[in-house]
Amino acid sequence: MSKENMSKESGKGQQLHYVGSWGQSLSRRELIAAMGGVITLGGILAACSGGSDGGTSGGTLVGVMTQQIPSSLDPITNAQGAALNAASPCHDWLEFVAINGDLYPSLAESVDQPDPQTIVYKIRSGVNFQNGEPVNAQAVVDLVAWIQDKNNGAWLNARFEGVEAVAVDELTLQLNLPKADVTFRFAVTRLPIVAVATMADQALNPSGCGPYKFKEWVQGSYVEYTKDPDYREADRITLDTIRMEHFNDSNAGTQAFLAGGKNWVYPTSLSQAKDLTARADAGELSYLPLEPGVCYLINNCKSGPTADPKVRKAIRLALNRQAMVDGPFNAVSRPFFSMLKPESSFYVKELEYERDIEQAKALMAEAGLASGFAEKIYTPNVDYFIGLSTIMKDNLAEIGIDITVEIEETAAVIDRMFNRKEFNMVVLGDALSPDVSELHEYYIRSTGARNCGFYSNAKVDELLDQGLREVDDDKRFEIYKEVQIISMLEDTGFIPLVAEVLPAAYKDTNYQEFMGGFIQYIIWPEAKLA
Amino acid sequence: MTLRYLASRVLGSLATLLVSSFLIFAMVRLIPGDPATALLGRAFDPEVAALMRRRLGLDGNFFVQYLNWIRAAITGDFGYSLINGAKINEQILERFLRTLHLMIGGLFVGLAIAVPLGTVSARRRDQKSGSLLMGLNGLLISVPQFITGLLLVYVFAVTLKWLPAGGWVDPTSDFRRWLTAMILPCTTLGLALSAFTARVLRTSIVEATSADYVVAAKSWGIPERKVYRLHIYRNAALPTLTTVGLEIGYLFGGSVVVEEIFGYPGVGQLTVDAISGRDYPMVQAAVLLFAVGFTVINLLVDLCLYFVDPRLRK
Repeated sequence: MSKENMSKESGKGQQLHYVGSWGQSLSRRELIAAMGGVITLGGILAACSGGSDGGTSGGTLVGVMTQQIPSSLDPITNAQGAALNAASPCHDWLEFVAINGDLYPSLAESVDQPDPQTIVYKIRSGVNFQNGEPVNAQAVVDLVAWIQDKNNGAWLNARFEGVEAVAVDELTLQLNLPKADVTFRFAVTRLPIVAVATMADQALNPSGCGPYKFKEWVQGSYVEYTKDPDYREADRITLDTIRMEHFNDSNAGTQAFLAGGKNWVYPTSLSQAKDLTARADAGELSYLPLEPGVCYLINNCKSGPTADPKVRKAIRLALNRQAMVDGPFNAVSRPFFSMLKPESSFYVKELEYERDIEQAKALMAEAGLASGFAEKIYTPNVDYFIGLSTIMKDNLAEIGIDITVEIEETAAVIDRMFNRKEFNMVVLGDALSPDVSELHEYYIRSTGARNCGFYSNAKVDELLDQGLREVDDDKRFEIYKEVQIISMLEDTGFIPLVAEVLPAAYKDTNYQEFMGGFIQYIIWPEAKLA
Repeated sequence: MTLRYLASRVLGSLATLLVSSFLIFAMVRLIPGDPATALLGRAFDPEVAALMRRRLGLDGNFFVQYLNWIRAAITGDFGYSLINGAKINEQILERFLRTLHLMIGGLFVGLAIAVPLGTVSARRRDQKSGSLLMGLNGLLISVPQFITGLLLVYVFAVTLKWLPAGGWVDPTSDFRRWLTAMILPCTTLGLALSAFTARVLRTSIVEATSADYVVAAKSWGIPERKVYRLHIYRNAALPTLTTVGLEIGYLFGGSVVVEEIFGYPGVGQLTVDAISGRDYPMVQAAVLLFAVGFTVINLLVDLCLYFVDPRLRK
């Protein structure tokens, strides 16, 4: 402050005043008071500048998981992906799914399926759980029995119903299935192998037989694991510590990643797709739009105007999938016409079609609804689902269907769909499966657990039964091709929309496969391609 | 203070809490979906969901469930989480203490900004600088917390890299990193608080300045500084104190947004997650804690005013 700006006030007190740039005098006390907050904040800022640290130094991998904060670390009683992601470093599986969709033997050194109702696993010798108990056939038998006990609340309970697990010898496990099911091995990949004695603790203090030991979980903030020196192949573990930090908000999580000190973030916000792509182009980071799921529209096939297959077909033909990709997904998704990725060996090219408003209008007229009808699409309160429904509203207006987009909390939509089944049209997504039968069994079979739209076709059910019995892949392809053509095109019991893209951003290409928390691909790099 | 006044306020607060507890219990169950739906998510299976409901004891009579819960809650036992089996008392206490850190920090930042802002803008109300300060105040009021928070993160964490973008550090293990991590969340919370408080303080000072007793004091030749200290600030403190009391309750609510933005594991985030997961006993305990917090703060403000304002004692 210049001397010219200092003056003396006449009168009592003879107080020295400082003249501010606004020309008004401030007493010393006022000046101090006015600057108090700024000085305090500035002082702390200066003291703490450069304070964000972290990263891979010292063999620590720090990741940011967004959207869903795990409320439990037990993937056996909690079906949420967040629980599995947060707990996976300490677990191992008999087999797990490789990146290309094939099965990779892990705890099992070999797997044999002599007939569609029998699976035989040969378990590796000398493997122990982290609590010291041996991993052997009896341990898996005990775990299957625990899952089958209805009082334990295992989410795989229904899938394991009627399965007989037998310890043929110390390391040979045989699963006898209640009916032919050549895809049951995929269901077993959902089951981390843990000691039954530790089940009561798994939600808060997980332990298994994986490469890392659980260290600490500050619920709502982070979960941390350290290398297990007793892991069956401990020399393969290159990172000493794995830390996953949790943010509910994907924008905030992405900002935390960009601020530094973090190796990856998953998923990033779709609204930041352009910024992250630009940063990737500038070499600041890598950006990977992963496609873990499919977004779909389900119509009520039993009541309301959508009970008529012609109306469902008209809806299907009126939808503009490219607009959905370009709009809510910021061009990082792609149109889907199936429950399988186009790269799948079971993908059927004939399912693809062009948008055809004229044919859709003709079908509406054939159904006696040329003047259209009003309907609601129930939509989870997730930005991209709201975007999809808004586009569908515009698309369907072209054929006279007046859509109201009803937005509800995701759990409420799930309750409406699967529990109360009170809807005519609903939009949601589900995880893609490398197994062709899995989602078709859930959504297309007339008794499927997620068949909330009441779709039913005896011919399709019969084909699905055949698919579970058939071991020859060429024959299975033909079976599921027919299933898909009938259910998706002719009956339109399920309308896939676009890939549910959850983009990841990362700074270390070595660890890109760890996105989503699955450490096994780092420990077993050959599993990436199986 | 009369015992009757104290007793009536305490009894009124207890009645409020009892009614709140029933409403909380009922409302939590009115939300569509239940813990089984949340646990299974997209992997929903009606058969497994039915088993889970039975195991979690959700198929009993509503009133019996309420009575069992309130009876245990009165003794301080809120039971266990339906999702992970953790003891709710311990979870809530741990999270509440973290939220308390956040609230105290927010209050500190809020008052550090509000008091000078309100005072200076009131004393300069006829000048451009006063208008400018009130314009700044209006800006602080109108910007939602999630925008302020993300903006602060973008500037101080992403661009300048001075501060971490969020997360939580145990102060007992690393106090400096804890302090660093608290700056942006506390500032976000404090900025919103400061805006309302500064406005109330300014209005109160302006009103007190034109009061008869102030005019009289000035006419008696009492120095302006003394008039401000003895008459204006003291009278302006009453409505400001009430506002700050209410704002502390608001800080509870505001902490929910701030905790979400900064990945801060406080009681607000716990509540949001418990609602998403339909963890009924956890939601009930957390929301009841909010209700208790509000009630106690209101009670304390009433008692403070009783001491500060002699008119209330007549």
